[in-house]
Amino acid sequence: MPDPIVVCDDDGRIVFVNHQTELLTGYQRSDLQGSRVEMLIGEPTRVGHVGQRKSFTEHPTTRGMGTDLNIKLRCLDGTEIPVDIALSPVETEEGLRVVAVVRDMRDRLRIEAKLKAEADAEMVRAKDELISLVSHEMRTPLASIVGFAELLLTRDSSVDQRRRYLDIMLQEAKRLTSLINDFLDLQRLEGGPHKLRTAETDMTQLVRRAVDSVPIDPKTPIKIDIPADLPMVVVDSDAVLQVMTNLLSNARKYSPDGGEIMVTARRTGESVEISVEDHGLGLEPDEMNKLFNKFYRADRAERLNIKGTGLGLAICRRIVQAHGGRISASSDGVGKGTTFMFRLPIALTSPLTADVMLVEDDHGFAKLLEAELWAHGLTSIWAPEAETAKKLIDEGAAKAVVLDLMLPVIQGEEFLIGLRTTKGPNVPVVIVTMRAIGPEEHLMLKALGATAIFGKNAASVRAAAELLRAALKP
Amino acid sequence: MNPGGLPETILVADNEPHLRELTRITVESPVRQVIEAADGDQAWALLKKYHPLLALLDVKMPGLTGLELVKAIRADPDLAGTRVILIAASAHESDRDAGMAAGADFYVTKPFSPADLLGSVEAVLAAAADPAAG
Repeated sequence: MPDPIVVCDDDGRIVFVNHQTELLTGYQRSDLQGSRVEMLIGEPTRVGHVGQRKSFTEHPTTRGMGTDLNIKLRCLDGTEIPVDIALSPVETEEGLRVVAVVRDMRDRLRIEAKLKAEADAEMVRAKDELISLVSHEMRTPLASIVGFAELLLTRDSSVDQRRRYLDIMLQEAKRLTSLINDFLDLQRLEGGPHKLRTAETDMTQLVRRAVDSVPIDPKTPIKIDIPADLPMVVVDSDAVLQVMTNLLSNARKYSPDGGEIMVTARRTGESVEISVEDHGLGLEPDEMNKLFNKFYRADRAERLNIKGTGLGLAICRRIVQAHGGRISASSDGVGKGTTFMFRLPIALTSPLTADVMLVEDDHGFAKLLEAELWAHGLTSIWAPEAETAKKLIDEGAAKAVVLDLMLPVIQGEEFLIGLRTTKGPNVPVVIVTMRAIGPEEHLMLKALGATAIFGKNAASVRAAAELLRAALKP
Repeated sequence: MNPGGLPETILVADNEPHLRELTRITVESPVRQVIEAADGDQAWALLKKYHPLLALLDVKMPGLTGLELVKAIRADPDLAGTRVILIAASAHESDRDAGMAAGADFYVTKPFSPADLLGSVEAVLAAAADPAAG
């Protein structure tokens, strides 16, 4: 559904409304045109609106969605609908026009409320489960500490026995400490969006640091195989170091009979893939996914009494995810070793520029456009939503735009209005949309500055590419 | 009691070696011999072989869990004479109920006092020797 659009003059009189405005408010266009825009504004903000409108027309600036979420649209039958409004001043021959794109927020608010309720319930459930797991894991080392302490106090023991009891208590107290540390690490990582201190980092150096930080063990020598031309990655180096040392010490721990550990890194597309391969216990096929769950411990490791908190890999996964990457494990089976792989984003050395910016939330369709433009001698960059596209355009990243109308958050129309306000009429904008565009909306889009309007199909993709080639490479 | 003059056999099953050691030290005596299992499957093999008088079973072990072992013991006529104490890291009422419902004679929560555990072992064995008193 397109958004309602209301155009006013500098005195707040409505000069145009689209059909969507009629549908939403129940008014006919003739009821509205010529009236003051305040007739469409709900009680709480109506009184103050005249003043706000006047100060806006004195200093007209583009104002995006999300600035004023308390405004209500008043309909013919008196109902008031929560809306969000974007404003764009446009100079015309008849003077200043203010284009207001109105978004009905009811569905969004309903969905948000529902999602929040679901998220709250899930959080309570996950928290309960976690508390139960944590208390369970903490009771085991605690049982040794409490038990041996009582034996020391209440039984006659030899010097050797006393030393043995104290040694166990110390070991278990250390275990409890690492459990608490790991647990706090994980809580910190999971407490909302993790603040990464990212910087361009040389992965080779980072791998060396990780190898140096784990103790030397001749039974499990660590080999590094990294090409000299590996690109820099953009990462939080402390966090990635933690991932690397964790994987290296795991590789050691789960190779009780020794064996070489191999660290490799190579570029794959826009990322660097790092892998840590051992010749240890290996994995059952059904363990691959469970491995990264909190407090998961492999049965065989338990039987062999290989110590661990069951949190290390959960921490690794969180850190890699926070970098927008993925971590996975593979193994040829029990006794055949394990390989852990994760990917990190590489640093882009040159600023992004291209002939055409694709503002399109459907990745598949963007790929299709990219290929067609490429066939017409045009390069393109892709932005999945309008906010990124706006930033890139402001940086001068592209000379023309292919624009989808139905986008997440900021809609195509609003992006177009913003573009025309900041960049003027010289950037060709071709609209490619799934939406059926009626003659009236077609006119309105043209009035907002669309160069051409197409449907989403193979023929129109070709037509759009031809038009852009004609405009950019005459 | 101990009619054959042989030591009473007690099975301690826990995958945590330090807790096995603690439990063994706590209950072992000149008349009580302790056998140890590091996981549930090993525990079952020892149960079938030695028919111990008492089994102290950790609830969460690799292989057969303590809860599964209690059920298997109660379903096996050969092991009718074996008493069971479950040792669990969960203090939840519902877990305790599930353990007792499965047929455990007693349920101990970690951390535990060795003296209290020994008291429970004595009580369970006394009840087994004299069902009327139990």
